[in-house]
Amino acid sequence: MSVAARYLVEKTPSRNQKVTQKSRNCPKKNINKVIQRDSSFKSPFWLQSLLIIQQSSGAIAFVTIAIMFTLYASIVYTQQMWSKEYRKLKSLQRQERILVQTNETIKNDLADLAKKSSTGLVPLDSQKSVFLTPTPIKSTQRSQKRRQETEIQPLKNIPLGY
Amino acid sequence: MVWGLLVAAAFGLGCRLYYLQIIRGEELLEKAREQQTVNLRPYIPRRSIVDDRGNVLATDRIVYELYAHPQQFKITKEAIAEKLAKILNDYTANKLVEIFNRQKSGIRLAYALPEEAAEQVARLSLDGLELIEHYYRYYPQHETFANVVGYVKRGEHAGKAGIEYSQEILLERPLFKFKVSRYGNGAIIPEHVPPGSLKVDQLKLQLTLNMRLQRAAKAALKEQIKKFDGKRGAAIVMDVRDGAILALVCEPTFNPNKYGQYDLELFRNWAVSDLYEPGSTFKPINVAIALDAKVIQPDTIINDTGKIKIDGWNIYNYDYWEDQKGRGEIDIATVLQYSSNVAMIKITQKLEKADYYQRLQDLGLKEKVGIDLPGDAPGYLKDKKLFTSKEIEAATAAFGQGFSLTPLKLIQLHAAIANGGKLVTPHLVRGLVDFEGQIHWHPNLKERTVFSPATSRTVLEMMETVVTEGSGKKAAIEGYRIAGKTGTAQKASPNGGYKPGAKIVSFVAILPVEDPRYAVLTLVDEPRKPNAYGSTVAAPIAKSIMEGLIAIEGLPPTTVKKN
Repeated sequence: MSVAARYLVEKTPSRNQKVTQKSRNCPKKNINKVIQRDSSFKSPFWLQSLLIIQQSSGAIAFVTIAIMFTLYASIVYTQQMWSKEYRKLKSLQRQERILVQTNETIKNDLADLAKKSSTGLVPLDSQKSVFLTPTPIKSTQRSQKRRQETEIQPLKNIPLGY
Repeated sequence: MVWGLLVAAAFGLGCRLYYLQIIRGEELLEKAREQQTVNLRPYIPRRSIVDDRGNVLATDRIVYELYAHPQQFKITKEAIAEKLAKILNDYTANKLVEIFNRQKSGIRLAYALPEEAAEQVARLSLDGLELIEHYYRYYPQHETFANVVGYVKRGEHAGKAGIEYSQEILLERPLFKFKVSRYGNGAIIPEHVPPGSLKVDQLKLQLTLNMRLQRAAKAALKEQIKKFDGKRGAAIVMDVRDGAILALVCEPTFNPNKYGQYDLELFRNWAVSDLYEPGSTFKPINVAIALDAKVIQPDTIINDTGKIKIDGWNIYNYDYWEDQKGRGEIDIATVLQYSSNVAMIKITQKLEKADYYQRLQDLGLKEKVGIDLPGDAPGYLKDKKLFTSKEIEAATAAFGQGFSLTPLKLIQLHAAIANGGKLVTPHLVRGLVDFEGQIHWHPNLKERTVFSPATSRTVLEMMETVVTEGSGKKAAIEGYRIAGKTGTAQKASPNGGYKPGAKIVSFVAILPVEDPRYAVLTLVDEPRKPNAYGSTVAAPIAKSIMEGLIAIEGLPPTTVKKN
């Protein structure tokens, strides 16, 4: 019998052992002696380690399972979210298309309508424009602006569907 | 007994398993994959084309082809017809039933079903109906930009005319699709979506055109063509500083949304591709050549005799028959004011013929202008030997006949007079811009000097007198300094010589003279009504366009500037 086994047997004597002990009519002090000797027994380090591992592995298993479930749930959730966002993107792209088409079609319709004299709209001309004397427009202003505009800009990371 | 039953059941299940996994395994696997996967096509439209203010000239729509396969119908044809007729405006229920009875499969019910209608059809969830997605080019401004923007052929989704054709590389982007798995409810499992596959840049192709100016030019041109019963007309507005074209109109034109209904001839931009003899509008260019060659000075006096005989040919001033005499001793500005052919011949006679020819060639008359439109045609100038061998060749070239160029080339040359002598590249593409208007690519344009700044300034001021005192009075606008030149040229006949009675009238204007920014060229081909000249037909169009230009670009009158 191994030391561990003996230790266990000694710590928790079975009913049969007790009966045997009683039937042998062993003196009480003898028993006390054994117990005393057992309590003074120090289990080896490797045993303690194994016991710690045994106890902690349960906790680790529990935590791992919890993480696994969380991860699984988050993966499923992310995929569902992706799907939802993709539908949203599609819908936004469609709205943008419709908006652009409608807006530009209205512009064209208005321009066509403006050609009819009944609308009371007249073509632009210099006599109907108002130019304010105190704010002379420098002829180079636009050219400078244009030059700035024509400088190539790096492509920004524009979010999809902005 | 119970054991027997259990064993039999287990055996039965085993057999079924064998049948499903081994015998029909492959077929079922394929079926399952088909149901579990879906083709994902990211939205990659052809780039939009916008004007200089961001107004959309061409954009992509998504439309659907609708096919019916009656043999796959799970409910009666009548019931399907009833449901479809409510969505499809082109069909009644009875008509649809009649169509369904004609063919068992593959009946195309609609070619370009809008997205909303396609969604309604999809929502019916009927077996035997198939929707196929397509991109479809839409031109919200209809005819307004047709001769510049061109059109995209349906089905191929490729440009066939205009910018759509010439800038195909910039506009079209490769389409791709990939397979992804999906849940039972149709939601996509994004496991196999390639990273970045849904990200496409939002860049648009921006043109230098201005929508309001284009409309104003089109309206003015159309009205005058109608008034003088012209065959066709064109108008060009160019920024003389860099060659950017703000308006380019040809009439008649087509509606790119219905291109199939028009004659192929209309898809060509004739202001870019057709040659014509410019006539008197070329005279300022000849004056600039003579000034640069230093054979004349601005104050040189020329004796205008009204008529002149060259190589046995009599050449007259256009108004010679009014009083059968010339204008006598006149300076160069007056030569332009009265558009004297005889005086112009005398000016060019001061040049060596070979030198004159070389200078004409240096203007790039035989080269393409380099515009970003298809059909850019080089001009025609007779070969040097022929040109220099006879007196008459240089004499006719003096008043803009005997050689030909495109209207675009003519405005390019006038832009050189306006901008201090630089031959800029006329162009329509400003570049690729994002939604904030930031530019991410622009074309590299060439320019070279053809006239000296002093010469171009002198000619410009001479041209101003054409508007203030000469034939261009109808283009004058109060408060603004405008330079101009009229032209009424005979039309060359395809069989040689000139087409009797056929003329092309034109007017070129530059404004404002004190700080030239814009050149305007208007032409009307074969006006049939009487009294049709550059001054009466083309100058008023140029005036209307300049009125619009002043208002749109906010050009202050000279009087305000002086204050």
